[in-house]
Amino acid sequence: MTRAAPVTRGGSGRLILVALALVCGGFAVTGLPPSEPLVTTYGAASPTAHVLGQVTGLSLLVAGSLALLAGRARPPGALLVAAGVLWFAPDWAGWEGGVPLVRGVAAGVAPLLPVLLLAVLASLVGGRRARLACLAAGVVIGALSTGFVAVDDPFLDPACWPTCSDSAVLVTSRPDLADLLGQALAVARVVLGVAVGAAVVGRLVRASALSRRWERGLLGAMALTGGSEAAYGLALLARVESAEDSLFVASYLARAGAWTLLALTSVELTWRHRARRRALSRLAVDLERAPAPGSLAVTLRAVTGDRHLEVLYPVGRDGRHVSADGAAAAEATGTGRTSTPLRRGTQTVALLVHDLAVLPVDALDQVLGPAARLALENERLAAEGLARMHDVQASRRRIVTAGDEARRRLERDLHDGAQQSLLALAYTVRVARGAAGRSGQGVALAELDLGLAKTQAALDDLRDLAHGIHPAVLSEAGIGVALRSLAERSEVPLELAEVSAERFEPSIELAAYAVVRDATERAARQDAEVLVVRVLHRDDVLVLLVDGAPGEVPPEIHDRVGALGGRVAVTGTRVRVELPCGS
Amino acid sequence: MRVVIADDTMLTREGIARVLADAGVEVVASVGDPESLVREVIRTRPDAAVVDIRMPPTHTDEGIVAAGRLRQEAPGIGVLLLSSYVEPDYAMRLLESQPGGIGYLLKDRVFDGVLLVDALRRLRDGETVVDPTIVARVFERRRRVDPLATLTEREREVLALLTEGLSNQALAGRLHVTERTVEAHITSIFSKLGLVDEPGVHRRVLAVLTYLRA
Repeated sequence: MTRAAPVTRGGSGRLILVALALVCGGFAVTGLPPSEPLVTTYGAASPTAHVLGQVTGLSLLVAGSLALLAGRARPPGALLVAAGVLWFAPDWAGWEGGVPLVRGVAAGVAPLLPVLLLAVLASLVGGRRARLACLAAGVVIGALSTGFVAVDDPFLDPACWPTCSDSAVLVTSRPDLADLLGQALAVARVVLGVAVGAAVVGRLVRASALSRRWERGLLGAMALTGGSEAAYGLALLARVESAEDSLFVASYLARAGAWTLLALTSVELTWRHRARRRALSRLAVDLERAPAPGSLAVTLRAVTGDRHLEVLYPVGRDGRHVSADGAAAAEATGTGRTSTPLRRGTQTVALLVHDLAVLPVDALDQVLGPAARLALENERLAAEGLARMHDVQASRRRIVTAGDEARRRLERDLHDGAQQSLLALAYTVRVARGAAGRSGQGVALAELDLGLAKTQAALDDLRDLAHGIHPAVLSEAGIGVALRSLAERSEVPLELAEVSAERFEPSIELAAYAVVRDATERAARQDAEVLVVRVLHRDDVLVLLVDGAPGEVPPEIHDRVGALGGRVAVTGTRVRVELPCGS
Repeated sequence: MRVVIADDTMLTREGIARVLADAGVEVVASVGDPESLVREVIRTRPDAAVVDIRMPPTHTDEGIVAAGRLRQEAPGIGVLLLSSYVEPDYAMRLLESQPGGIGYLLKDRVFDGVLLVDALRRLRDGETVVDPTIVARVFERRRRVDPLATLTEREREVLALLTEGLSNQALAGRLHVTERTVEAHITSIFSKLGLVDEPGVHRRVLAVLTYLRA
């Protein structure tokens, strides 16, 4: 089971990061000079680049701060704040009038920006492998970058990028090595950008519709960012970087646009996240006010947009789960779905089956107070009661249908066994009688005639018995034909005013037949004049109307109809039976 | 007369064969399933076949299906279907599905050799055979307004025999009257019941059964 990443707690750490973002933002806006005699930043090259660059960095800082304040887990606000800080790093590195140490450190950390993009992706994907990949990329690029600033001597750089001043972090001047490390850093940027772009596209393709809807904005922005970083890396490999080269300016603008988009989509996610949290809080309050059964599932579906979200309740000790209406539910979790228990104390009171991506389970866990959990427990108890009732109903139905099936088999056995044997006996007696007649044995003839008559009577009795056990015509030809046959046997005229010619489930047909047969028997006992029967099929219900039957409907009829989920209503001499028949 | 018997129960098959042999009818083949029945009928070309309705494989209406095939393979053959059920609906379904020369008898009727042979002869002569018990059941049905009440005793007797599938000629023989008298009775009955006399014994039987069961 995959759990959502924990929400950032620990308020002070969060606030420190937010404060850092504010300070950095303030410096960025007020501290950085827009132009210098030497153009060693893109901001200094054109007002458009300057404004866009500021907007990009600030929006990353704001997006990160908002995410931190909202307590959102994915992507972590801290990463966005860090991205905002790193975004400004080249400006600090290229600030000719700045503190040399700041310039050197800024130049050293600036290449780490794409690593943060990978980190954002890792936070979305989750898991050890993603975190390790992220760490490895950070270590490699960090080492390359540290090596670069340690050997790169700005005095020997003919392009003066990002600075011509002395470097405070220079250890030894090695132009050839610096060149090599610079190339390696550019390659790393290309690799990282392409990898993130490909991974994002893969995730978009594989994700469930729901998580795609939830994350597609952010993922799209990340793909663009990855692409723009890779393009920047390619440009670095092809030419010497300069703010006067239109290729690099275009690359800078593309990166700025992509990172800004990433910040904006993150803000949008934060906004939706907040809305969801609010809805959850409302839900928690609602739960405390004893809501209607099933409302938790409805509300959670609306909050998360996961239309297939289910709230299941454990029943008994057999590990079975049911929905709020007591209907049996499989805890099957399809691809991309998971289940999360909600507990009261140590007891699981409900189980959420939901899309992997969307439910802030921990957020829900946080907002559910003791009263809400008690309400959930109540809903679970109600569901359990309903489930038990369903069980009993299903059991009643099984008992009735098993009994019917046994009687049907018994009838078949009588027909194929005893009846056939009696018939064979009758043939034998018949042939013996013929022989006795031809040889003039008068006494034997009379006895054999008697035997034949008795065999015939036994056959008639057996046939009536078999028909009484189960009317074969009912299972072979259906309720309409069986009722016509019943009409021909009935002692009281039985009029079939309207009888559906459809076939129904055997137990339904048998129940309807039993109602009419019982009515004919009662009518015969009470000398009724006529019975009028109607069998109608209305909206998945077989409606049986018997008019003219006096007296009480016996309990076994009520039981039989009830076992099939139907009901019997008696008004005067009218019996109305409704049997749900599914189709 | 040459007859083929088809019934999946050996005891019944042998019983029928003995009763028929006792009555002087030649049993040319005795089989236990529909496939063998069709094969033997094609091979031996009998006058009639006595067929159990319930036969393998499903033990439901194989006999009726086999009857249809027999009438294609050997036109003119009389087919007498045997059933254990006193269900008028089964008889009617049979009559509806076949054009004539077909009969429905209860199995326990069959040990009366005379009756059985009479039924087979009637089938050979193109009449229809409906078991008297079935006819009696239809006639005895309790009704709030009984249409049969308007008939005279004699007319009811004629109608019952007519429903059993007897032709006018056979009716006249059975009642010891002339065919003209029978025709007069039938005209009177049909006009009292508001029925149109259908041509052919088979369709006439169906018309009456349908009317009485409505």
